[in-house]
Formats: sequence, C-alpha cells, structure tokens
Amino acid sequence: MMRVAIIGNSHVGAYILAREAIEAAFPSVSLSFFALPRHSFSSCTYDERGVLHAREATHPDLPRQIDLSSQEAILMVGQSFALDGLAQLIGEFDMLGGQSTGKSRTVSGSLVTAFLDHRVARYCHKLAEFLRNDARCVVVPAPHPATNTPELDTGAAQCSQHPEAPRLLRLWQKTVSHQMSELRYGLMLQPQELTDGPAFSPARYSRAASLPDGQAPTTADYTHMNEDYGFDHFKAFARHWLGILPAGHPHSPRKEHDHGLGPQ
Amino acid sequence: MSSPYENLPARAFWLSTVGRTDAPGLAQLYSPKVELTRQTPLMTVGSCFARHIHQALTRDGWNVLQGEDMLPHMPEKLCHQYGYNLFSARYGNIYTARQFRQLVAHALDGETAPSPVWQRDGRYFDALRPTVEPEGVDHPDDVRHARLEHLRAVKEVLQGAESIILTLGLTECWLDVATGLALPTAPGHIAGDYDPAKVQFHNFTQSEVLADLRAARDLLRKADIKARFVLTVSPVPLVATASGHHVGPASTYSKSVLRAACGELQAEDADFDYFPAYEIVSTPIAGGPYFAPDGRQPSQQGIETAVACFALSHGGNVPCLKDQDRRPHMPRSPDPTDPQCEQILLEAYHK
Repeated sequence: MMRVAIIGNSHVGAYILAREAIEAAFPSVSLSFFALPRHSFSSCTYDERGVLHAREATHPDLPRQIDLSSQEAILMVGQSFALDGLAQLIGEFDMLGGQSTGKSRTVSGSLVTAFLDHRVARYCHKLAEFLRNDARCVVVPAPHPATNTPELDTGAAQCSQHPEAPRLLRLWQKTVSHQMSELRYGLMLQPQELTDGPAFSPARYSRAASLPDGQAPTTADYTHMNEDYGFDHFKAFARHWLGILPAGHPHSPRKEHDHGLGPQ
Repeated sequence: MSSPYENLPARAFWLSTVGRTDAPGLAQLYSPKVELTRQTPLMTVGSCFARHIHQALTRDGWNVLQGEDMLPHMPEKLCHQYGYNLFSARYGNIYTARQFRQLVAHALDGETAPSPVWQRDGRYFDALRPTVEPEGVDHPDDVRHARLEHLRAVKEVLQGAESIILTLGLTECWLDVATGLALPTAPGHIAGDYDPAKVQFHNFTQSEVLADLRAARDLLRKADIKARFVLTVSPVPLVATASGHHVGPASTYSKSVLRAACGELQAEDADFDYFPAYEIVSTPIAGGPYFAPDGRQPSQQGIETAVACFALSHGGNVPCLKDQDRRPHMPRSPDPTDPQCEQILLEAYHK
C-alpha cells in the first residue's frame, strides 16, 4: 500500500469527504488525515519519531496526532501563502495605475511585489521549519473561492473579486513558486482544469453546491470545496506526484515530464 | 566694579555647563519659546537627520503626525525602503529651505502643483522625491497621481500640526532651469539625465534661506494654518560638494549659513524657535561629539541625548527609547469563516 497523509486546515475536509471514492479509484493508496488546531503551525509539534502532535486541546472528534514516519507522501493542503496579507493591503489601497475601487490611497506595483516577497518568504520559512523541509511533502495553496461567492471583504475572496485580480494573483503565484523553489517540498498550484479563470474555482466544486436542499450556505461554503473537488484534486496529485492513475494504472512521472506535464 | 556677566545663570558659562549629561544639565541647553507636550501634534520634515529625530520622538511617545502611514501593513524596513514612515509624510529628504517652501506651496496648490518626471530604464520617477519609489513606476501619469495623493496627505499634516520640526541640511542645491524648482538631488544619480543646460547649481545664502523660511510661514498663515516652527540644523556633513571647494570647508559654510539663519529667526520672529541638535551631536556641550565610527553619521547615543534634551526642556521625563515598540502592528482582520471552518471539518469526519 502507498500511504498518503493529507494534513492542513479545514480544507482537509474535501478529501475526507472524498476518501471512499479516492480509495476505490486508487486501491493501492491508504489515506490518513490530520488538521492543525487553529490552522496554526505553532499549534503542533513534529517530534523526532516523525509524529505530528497537537500541542493544545482540539475538538474531541478530531485526531490529536498523526504518525508521518511511515507515509510515502504528505499532502499539505489549504495553505494561504500570505494571500490574506495581500487582501488586507488591497482592502485599504488601490493599485497605482490600476482600476480604481474608490480608495483614497494607492500602492505601486513594485511595492506590492516587495511586500509579497517578504510575506511569502516568511510563510515559506515557517513551512520549512514545520516539517523540517521533508521532501515527501507537497504543499497546496487553498483553492480559489467559487465563482458564485457572495461579495466578501476579507481573505482570498477579496483578492479574487478585486478588479485587478488577474494581475495580483499572477504576481502572488509567481512569488509563491519562486519562494517554494528554495525548499525541498513540492508545490502544487491549483490545476487549471479545477479553476474557472485565474481567480476562481468552478461553482460546482464549492460546498455550497453540495449542501442538502434547504440548508443555507455560509460564506465558508463558497471558499471550501466539496467531495468532487477533493477527488479531482487528489486525482491530479496522484497523476503528477505519485505517478498513478485511477484504478491503479501505474504511470511514470518522468514520462509526464517528458510530455510537458511534469510537476507544477 | 560690576560686570554684565554677573548674576548670569550657570548655563552662560562654558566651564560650569559644557559636558554635562545629567538631566538638569541637558534641560538647560534649550529654553523653548512655546511649551510642547507629548500630546502636541508635531510634523517632522527635513534632511536625513530629521529621520532620526522622527523615529526617536515617535518611539518616545510624542504625537508625531503620520500622513501616509504604512507600518500597519508592512515591516518597518520595507516601509523605509519605499519612503514611508521616515517623516510625517512621504516626501523624502527635504534638504533646503527652498525645497520646504516649495513643498508647502505645492501642498496648498493641490491639483495645480507641478509634477516633474525623471526616467530610468523605461521607468518613471518623481523628480521632487525620486527615492520613494526605488524601482520607479510604470507611467508618467502614475507619478502625477501618486504626487497629488502625497500632496493631499502633506496638506492634512500641515493643517493638523501645531509645531513643525524642520531640520535644515544643505545650502547647496540643483535648480531646474525651466521651472526654477529646487531638486533634492542632481539628475543622473537616481534617475534622469544630467544636462548642464537644464539644471544649474546654486548655493543658497543666509538671506535666501531666511526669505524661504519666512515665505513658507506666510503661505501657511495665508491658508489659516497656525503651526509654528522648531528649526534644527543637521550635524551630518555634506557627502559631496559641487561648490568647487573642499568638502570640509563647504560643509562648514552650509552649516554656518543655516545655523545663522536659524539664530536670526529665533531672535526676531515669534513663529520660529531653534533646538540645538546640531550642537548636541557635533560639539562637546552635552558630552559629545556623538558620531558613528564613519565620522559622519550621528551615533544612536547622540540622537538619544538630543531627544532627552528636547523632552527635558519641555518639562518631560528622560525618555526611554530602548525596548519600546509603539508602532501600530498590522491587525489580524477577523476572518468571518473561522468558526465555520471547524464545523466543515467536523462534518467531514462525521459523514
């Protein structure tokens, strides 16, 4: 069996929901899950034996630890890579030379670039310390919010809904890719087939699209994805990073790379 | 036999006062015309020494106005790299009295203020503050937009200030021939091209400095802005001179002219006072001179001594400038999805 741990924050939920489908499609894969309390690296200890422990009380129904020592791969999902910091910045400033949103102050593109360099580098430094730069780990940014997300004034949705979103998110992705290239971890940006344009996920993948009839969605249901997304995203991960296809078809990552489909 | 020196206070005598660094000794270095408290709104502006004054007063809890604050969003180093939070607004170094007069005029003119632009490698720079965007911006229109935004902030700071702490740094200046504008640096250093037909060197005289400072004050009064001035002179010598003289005597000329202008205004004009930061850092009057090993920049001890003198002279306590971080930190905005996130996980586990 190929043991894969999926860890991170509340975005782990999409994979937990898809567990049955994933294990059916990938019979050679065994999954385990862990969510960091408060989504904070400092809330956990990664001990010398390779066990990740919650240092503080978690909800009694959530696991308190996960043994990563025997895992072939670790998928760390839902990482913000300082996108919240960018959202706060554009919440107060317009981009100089960009489309106005009526703010009284602007920031230049080069300052935003320098700001992102600083914030993403700091984030990656914490990431590297967290799992000691373990090469088994592939880090996944949080998915873009769904196209039908109601207007939000915080977080990633604020970036996606900003009129300068394509430019800002392109810059953010470039910065994340550059900073992550310094680490031994892999980086898996959101696959193009799971996006709707540069800033959104398709509405059908949102939790809001899968809620039972009569249940009103919360804002988090537009920024968190559902079982379908969990499955499709894992499938893309398995193809690129584990070299396997659904139903256990072996596939060489080298062959993918040679065809221009290598790890992102 | 009587002498005019009889009954003068101890501070009038070199031997009895010079070199004292105790609180009463520092307090007697300066007799303010107007009492300031830590609540008095202050504007800081001037040459690079003004940055030190700005930071030391801010750390010591004085009400230093900040018209273009970026610290809640970025680390201090990055703010400073882009000209934020060095002074009360993002004007860069204002070395000369002429530049200050110009800044006041432009801030009050607003939309009609000129906006000269320099180029470098296809990027565009504000010629009147070329360091605030180290990489320049994409388009000349962006320079103008940012400049107008900056001038609005400067006007607000001027309107809010009760006291303007203006540090004069230089008399040497480059003037744009076509517009007469005083430039903070010669074109060709940071951006732009040096063309002797387009810029000319000028070394201001004392009467010119006096005229510029008085004109700046008059502009403020005309706009019903009541702020008074506390002048200082930067103790930092010239890094280079274009006067044709040795940089040492050229520095002395500059500082002497500025110091004499400050003295004249302090003596004759109720709107102007002089705080002796120059003397504190560059002479032995308060235990100095206080220079860093490079012999040019003031040492931290010198800056702290100057600010201690400022506070004590205004009846305050000896400031504690170390281990204090009064800057506003970037608040973590509440994420409305936080409580919902755990619910999402629990639902997934319980499916």
